[in-house]
Amino acid sequence: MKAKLLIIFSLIIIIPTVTIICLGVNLTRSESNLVKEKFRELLTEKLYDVEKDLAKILEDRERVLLPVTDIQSVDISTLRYISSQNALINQIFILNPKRELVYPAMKTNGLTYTEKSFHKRTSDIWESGEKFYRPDEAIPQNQVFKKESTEKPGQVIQQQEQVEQQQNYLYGSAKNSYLTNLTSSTSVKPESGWYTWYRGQGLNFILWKRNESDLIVGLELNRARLISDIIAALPDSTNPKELIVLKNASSELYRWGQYSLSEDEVPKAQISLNVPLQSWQLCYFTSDAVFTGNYSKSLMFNYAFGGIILIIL
Amino acid sequence: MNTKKLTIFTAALFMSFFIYADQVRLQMVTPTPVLEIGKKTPIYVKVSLTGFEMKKTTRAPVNVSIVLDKSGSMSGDKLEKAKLAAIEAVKRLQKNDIISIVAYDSGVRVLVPATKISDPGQVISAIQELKASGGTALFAGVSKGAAEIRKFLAKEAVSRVILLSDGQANEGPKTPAELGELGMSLIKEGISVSTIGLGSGYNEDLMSRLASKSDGNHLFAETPEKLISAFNNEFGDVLSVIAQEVVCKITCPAGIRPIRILGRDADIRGQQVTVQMNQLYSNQEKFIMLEVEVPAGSSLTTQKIASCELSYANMETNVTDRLSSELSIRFSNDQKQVAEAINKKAMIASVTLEATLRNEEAMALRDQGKVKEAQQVLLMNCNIINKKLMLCPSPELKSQWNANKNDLDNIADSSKYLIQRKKMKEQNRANIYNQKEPQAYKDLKQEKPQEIQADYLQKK
Repeated sequence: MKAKLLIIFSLIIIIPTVTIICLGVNLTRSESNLVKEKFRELLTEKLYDVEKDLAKILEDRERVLLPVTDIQSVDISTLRYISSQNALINQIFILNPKRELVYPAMKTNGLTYTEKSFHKRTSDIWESGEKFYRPDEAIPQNQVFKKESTEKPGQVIQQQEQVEQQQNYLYGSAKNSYLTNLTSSTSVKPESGWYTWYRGQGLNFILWKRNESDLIVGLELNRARLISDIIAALPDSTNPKELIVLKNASSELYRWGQYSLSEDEVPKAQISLNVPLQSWQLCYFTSDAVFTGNYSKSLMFNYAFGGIILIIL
Repeated sequence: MNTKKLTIFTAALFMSFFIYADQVRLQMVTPTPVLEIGKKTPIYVKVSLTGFEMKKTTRAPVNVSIVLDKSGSMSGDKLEKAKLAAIEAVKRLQKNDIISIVAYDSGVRVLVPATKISDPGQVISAIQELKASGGTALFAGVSKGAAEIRKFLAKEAVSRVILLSDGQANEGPKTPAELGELGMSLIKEGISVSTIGLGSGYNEDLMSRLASKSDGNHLFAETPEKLISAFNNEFGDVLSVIAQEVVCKITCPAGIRPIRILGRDADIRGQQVTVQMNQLYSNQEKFIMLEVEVPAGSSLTTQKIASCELSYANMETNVTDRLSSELSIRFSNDQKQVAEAINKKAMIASVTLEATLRNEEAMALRDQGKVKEAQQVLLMNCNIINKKLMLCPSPELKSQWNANKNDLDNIADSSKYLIQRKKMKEQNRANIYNQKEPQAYKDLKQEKPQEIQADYLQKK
């Protein structure tokens, strides 16, 4: 009889109570997961905001550097002057319409130390014949060279001479059929882009532009300077509750925030950056307490409440 | 009529200002101005640039960023002395100068953004608040310091980052190549980075590379006590800049082949050699040592060896000055005449630079674990300097011999080499770039130079 009563009592009181406690705990857990997910989204948004800032730096760099690629006459002294004076680049280079490197030309006497170093750094690109400018690009044929001109006739002749000098340099004095095409060639649609490759300490950058004369003018960026400018634009280390880390494929580049990392700590949020920084990542670290908020407190409350009820019963 | 006279007088006064304004002294000499007939000879051409005396009232404004390491290893006396040294330096600045203070550990903080030094108290209290902790994000520190300088970058001002570190860069980009590449970019904007290494733990390759690529100084402070004098020396240089954007173009006539520039980066193209320097200091000499090959002379004639065109921004007048000079040599069949004509000062300079390059070679061998080979190079170096000392007795060569002897004595001992290597780096950089006496060997006990026997190392 007593056993029956006990079973009935259990069915009526204890089981519903335990069920309520379990539901409470589950509710708290799922709420917590929801909050975590929302918080993660928030942190990811924050990282995307940082990415926008980084993208802006690269846009600015493009804005500043693309005018440098407006090379109309290939004058070695001018090109050397550009490389030696522009703090953002290591080397300027030019590919002719056949996509041969004509400056700084390989196997040419009288190259400077910096030009030779450029060949070494970029040898992988030239040896592999990688068409970084556009893989499916076709060489334009029989195009008519159009140039808006406001110069006086004398100036035009002078410029024509300059163009010929330039072409002699680009294609050699024995003009080939392609050169003939170019002299009467049309303007091709200018386009530009980034190219990155791994060498040395990480990702290296080239900003290139195909100009109207179908020359590709490339700028090998000073990698350290780009990273330095990115770091300079990122915030200082002030927030004690968070730590944001910018890293490339192999190592950390910069961190800001003062939250102390424990060993092998997993970031609470993480994003990969867009081209040309595609191998870089941003990671957000913060303490579990900040991340989970009041979840553990709610859970404790649920357990404590359930326990007290059971004891009373 | 009176107005006309006054105008003429004013114009004359204005012109006289430019005519009589001080200029850098450009001098071309060779250690061997007379060569023997019939011998194809490599000779050195020394292009010497000496800064004029700066008038105290016309000092160029400076735009300086002090970048301090506040990593955990700096705790205690090191950071306290670093703060003191930085504060002393700040006190030397004037109202028109711009200062920024950056501190770095694992992260970076700009303590004082670039600002005119109207209230030194504020800057000083920001420095005093520094506390040591964390790692060493050296690259990020330099990046923020340079960004602060860029806020007020002007041709009329002397722009300099002064970096202090006592440890290995262990956060962010950390190789000498990366720091060197950054230095190469900064120098193009006229920003030099001077580096001060403290104690035995810092990476001297990285610090000296950054300094050399950006045409700054590299100083080694063995103990925290030496930091104040290191900062003082550095600020002494910063406050005495009289010329910037120095470009020296040396042209050799046909037949004279330029071979190399000792130590410095240079652009050698055909017959023309271009060397750039960021700054020249008041009353200080910097020189370029060019090696050229002279074809065999056939008669008692004079042969033009090189001409030099120098341009620089004069910080006193804010005008670009252009100077030129040229060098010729004579041929003779009288050996006595050849010997008597030797220019001792130029000879000392060339011997010092050659010895410095051999010292670098010894260091490279030691780094590869080839201790004996390194010792042999240093021993040879001492003996070469000793021989030259007989020809040209000079205190410079004497101290060079002593420094090399000291290196020879300490290079094998791993515990001493850690410090010795830093001294060697500082000495070599000072010899090549600044032609200044390095601090690290200042207290070295001077022995009387002598030939060192081949069995010296065995006996030792």
